[in-house]
Amino acid sequence: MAEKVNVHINGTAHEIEKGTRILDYLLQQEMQHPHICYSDILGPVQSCDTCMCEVNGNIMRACSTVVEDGMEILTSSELAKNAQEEAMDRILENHLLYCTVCDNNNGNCRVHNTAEMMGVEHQTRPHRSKNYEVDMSHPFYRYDPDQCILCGRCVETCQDLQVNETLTIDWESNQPRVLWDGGKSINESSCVSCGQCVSVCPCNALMEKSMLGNAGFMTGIEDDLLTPMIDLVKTVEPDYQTIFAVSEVEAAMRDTRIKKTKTVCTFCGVGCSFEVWTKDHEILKIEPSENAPVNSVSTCVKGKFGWDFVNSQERITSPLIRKGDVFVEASWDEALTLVAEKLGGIKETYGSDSIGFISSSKMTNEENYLIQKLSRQVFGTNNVDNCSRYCQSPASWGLQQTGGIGGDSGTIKDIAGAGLVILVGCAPAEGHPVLATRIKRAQKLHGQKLITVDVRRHEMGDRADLFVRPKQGTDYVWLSAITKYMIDQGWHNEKFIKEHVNQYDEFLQMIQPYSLEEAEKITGIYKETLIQMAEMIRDADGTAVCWGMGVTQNIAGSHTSVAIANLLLATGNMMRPNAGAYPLRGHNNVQGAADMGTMPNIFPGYQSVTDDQIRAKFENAYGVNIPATPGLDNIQMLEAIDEGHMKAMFIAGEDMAWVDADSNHTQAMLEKLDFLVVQEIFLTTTAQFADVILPGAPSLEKDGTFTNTERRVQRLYQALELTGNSKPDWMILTELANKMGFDWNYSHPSEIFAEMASLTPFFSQCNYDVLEGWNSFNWGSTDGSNTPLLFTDGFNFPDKKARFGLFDYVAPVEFPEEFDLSLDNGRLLEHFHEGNLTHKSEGLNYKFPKVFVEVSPELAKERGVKDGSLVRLVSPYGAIRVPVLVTNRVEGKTVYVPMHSSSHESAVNLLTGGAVDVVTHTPAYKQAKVRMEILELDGENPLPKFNPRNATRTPQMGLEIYRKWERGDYAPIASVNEHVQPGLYDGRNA
Amino acid sequence: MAKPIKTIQRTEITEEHIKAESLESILSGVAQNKDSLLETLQLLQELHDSGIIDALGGLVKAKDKVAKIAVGQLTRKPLTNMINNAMAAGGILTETEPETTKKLISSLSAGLQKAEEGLKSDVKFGLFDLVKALKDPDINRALGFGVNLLKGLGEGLKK
Repeated sequence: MAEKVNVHINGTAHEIEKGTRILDYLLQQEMQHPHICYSDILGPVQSCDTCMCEVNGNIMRACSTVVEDGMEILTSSELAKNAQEEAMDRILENHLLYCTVCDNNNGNCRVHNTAEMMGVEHQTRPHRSKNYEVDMSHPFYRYDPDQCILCGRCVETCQDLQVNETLTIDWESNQPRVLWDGGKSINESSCVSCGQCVSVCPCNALMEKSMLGNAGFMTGIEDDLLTPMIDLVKTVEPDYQTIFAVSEVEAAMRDTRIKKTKTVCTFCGVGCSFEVWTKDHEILKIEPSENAPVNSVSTCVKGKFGWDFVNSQERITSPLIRKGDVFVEASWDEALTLVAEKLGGIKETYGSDSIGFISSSKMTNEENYLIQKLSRQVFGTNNVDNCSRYCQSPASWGLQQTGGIGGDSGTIKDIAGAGLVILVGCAPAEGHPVLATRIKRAQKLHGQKLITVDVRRHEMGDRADLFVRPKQGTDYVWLSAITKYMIDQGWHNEKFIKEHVNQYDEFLQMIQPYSLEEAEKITGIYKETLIQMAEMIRDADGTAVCWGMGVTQNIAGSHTSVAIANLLLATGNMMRPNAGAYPLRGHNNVQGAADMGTMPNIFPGYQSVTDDQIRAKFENAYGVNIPATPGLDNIQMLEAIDEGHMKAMFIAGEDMAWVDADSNHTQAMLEKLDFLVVQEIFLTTTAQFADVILPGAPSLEKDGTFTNTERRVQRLYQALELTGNSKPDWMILTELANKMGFDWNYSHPSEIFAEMASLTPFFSQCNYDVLEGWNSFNWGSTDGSNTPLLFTDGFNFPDKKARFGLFDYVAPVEFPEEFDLSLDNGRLLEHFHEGNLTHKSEGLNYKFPKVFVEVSPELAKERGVKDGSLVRLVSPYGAIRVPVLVTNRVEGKTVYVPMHSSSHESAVNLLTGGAVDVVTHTPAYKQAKVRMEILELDGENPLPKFNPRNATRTPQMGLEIYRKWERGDYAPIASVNEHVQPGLYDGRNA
Repeated sequence: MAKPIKTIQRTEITEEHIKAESLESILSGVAQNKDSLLETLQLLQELHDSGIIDALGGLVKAKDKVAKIAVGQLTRKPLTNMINNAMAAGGILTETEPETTKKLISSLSAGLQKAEEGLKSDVKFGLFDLVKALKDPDINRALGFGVNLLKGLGEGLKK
């Protein structure tokens, strides 16, 4: 039991947990009290001063004052009221209340609501301009200084929550305002467009441009009418309660035509959820909420602003059938009949295994479940796989070998709470931006240590306490060497190993060769650095290792994933909060696709197809016989096409033509198929090979669930009507199964989820009611209970013990000498995957127009290339033409090409190919080598001047509100102004 | 052997087809809302006959101009004064307790009834009757109300 204190609030006795802040308690008790700058996640910003209370006769901020025994708190005494009113008067000096013609008048404007709640009728200080221009420079949002109340929520958020460290307020200037990089235009600043400043702005000073002139009934009025109207209101000087009444009526009217729908983001595996505000089919804005379990108010540029693709004119809006050299629009009946006939015929002629199914990590769990069911029940084959084969299968396999479950050990809170985070081969500030913010915040505010191990020095490398650059593909070695060294030093957790881990002796023997000296030789990491890493693990209260494609897309990424698990097991960093293994899933539903059994060897919930008992369960449920042997994976399917065994494929939502390694080969294979069905929203390169294209629906147009990297299942609700003649993918699959003579009658995804859960122990206690609204469910226990933290009752093996994995190092692939440059590749913040979605956004393309090759300064000097030089990169598999960007993010003979291209000119996978992971067949995308030929020396820098990577941040510890108090003209309202360190009180992420 | 195709041949939807579809959806809408439509038509006819539709049409067509003129007029000093007065008056009304207003209004109607009865009887009313009437508790109450009202008004004017 937490200690309690007794206080009086407005004369009534209250018993409150010690350490609680007054405002938190008032809000908990649903006692109305004014406050504007405070937020659960930011803590007391202490700038608005509207939350003043009378405490033991003094005027104190409710947001920052902690309850003490015997306190007499008056929330609306004359003293308190006067202080609150004085504070609001100062705010209204900075903010004009033209609510009815303001696009932020949507019922959730904090300045409006607080002023109204306080019963403000007039102000003594008239509104005055700050005499700065409105900043419209950025493609996605604008800043209006004349509406800015200087509460600094945006600054606090940018500095300490997002930790991009761009925004400040110049408290010492004559007329303070929010600044970007100390005074640049927004567009030219280091702003990464995450949009969080806009989301937390309590008024209309920061607004999404998509809202301007669009949200209200009267906000689209031209300026030459709007200004006189505002002037009229000012001249008439109605009391504010009248203004509020009118604006509330208008807000209520808006509510009838603006739809607010909770959805889950599709741009990475973090699983941000938020509301999408729509008007008919138009997306007004993304509105995050403190209710969102993963991201709270946080988003990244794609989640906040990257949804233009949904309304792109290029959407496929009708089923298409190949006729001659064109696609011809067809009815659903026509298209599905053709698919059923052709696939049915091929099955009859060549057998079930002549057909392969590829599912999508972008589709919902329900759709993935149906694709494996379609494959197994309707077509009788286990030839079903999904694109986690291209990324995360090695990580899942590694964790299954050691702990029994292939998923993150805990949640984003455990990563934030860890004493040490080690990032291996992943760049979360680019690929998992919101997750990265929590690491950056923990490091900045809470003393978390960060080690980044990568061949490319990205933002998390810059920020790391220790940045380590190993030779490509050698992570296994340093991981094993550190593990061995720690055991040799006695820094391991012997007790934990004895109680919870098998195969210790065999493991000790296996890692024998990995001395620090040997590791230095193979990895290029100095022995001293390895010792330092070991010491940091030893000294940390909880080590969390996050890894990504830099580990998995290698010839033995699966073994390296085991080596990570081994290190964590040896040091007791499993079965506890704030520690563990975190493979960062790249797409919104990579985890879910695998969970749902769209893999050749498993049914949903990782139940083996070779297990007779389990197979019998599914055969019974599906009413058919299911093959007892695993089917083919993605890679094997292409081989089978080449060998002539595979005749037809059904590819749903995956642009395999560009995503698989060695694109030339992939496309040649697709060309060879007798019959190809592609379920898509765009005419992707893969779809161009199809015989029939079935138009599916993007996430905003359907219901369903996604499972994020934390194993967290979350619901998405249909925000928009379907486009044209397209259909939700689950409905297409259902109708196809029915055409094939099976009786699927799902009328809603909830029924599909229920069927899946009835067959899958991990999900047995989960259903759509459990997942209602902002609720979520983390799978991870065989009894089907919610399990945010794995293994607290033991590992997922019969004896509840983990096993050290005994898999050896496999050295990287050798290339002929002529290919002298090591080709790194991956994703950058602004775009998603091969760009089929994000290239539809004008704003994203403006900030990041095209891919390039990053060349180190030393290599640039050696080869005589510079920014903008056009070069050809040639690998044994193909060639691309890209402009050069010289940067010290890469070093020596490593070059880097972002993957965001679906062009025959510049798609990086024209270069990759050949080797695959020894266990899971994931292509070794990261083990590619190229040579570079100069085509043109002079050219335009591919990265625009106004890309944030070209700017310099302005870090400081939060808003630094004390600088306002130190101003000569600041008259204190509170009896005491004591600065609270940012993040000290932190409701969610302490 | 499927070569990639980049062309989509859209089914040409003819104008006729679009027209036919639109007509069909309108007809079904008409059929479903017969009664309300007929009533609306009647209303429209009356509005048309009286020339209101014509005026409205002109107003809507010139809406931007009209709005600018209107706002321009409204910002003139006499008009802003008037709006302020109107709002102030509105404020008084909203400040009065609805209970009091109700009582006042029902008393007023009772008073009017009595007055009308008095008019009908056509009896002459002398000074003595007036003094006598002061003693009547009902009249006395009404006078008290009036005097207090005047006093309150005077106090208000002092501010």
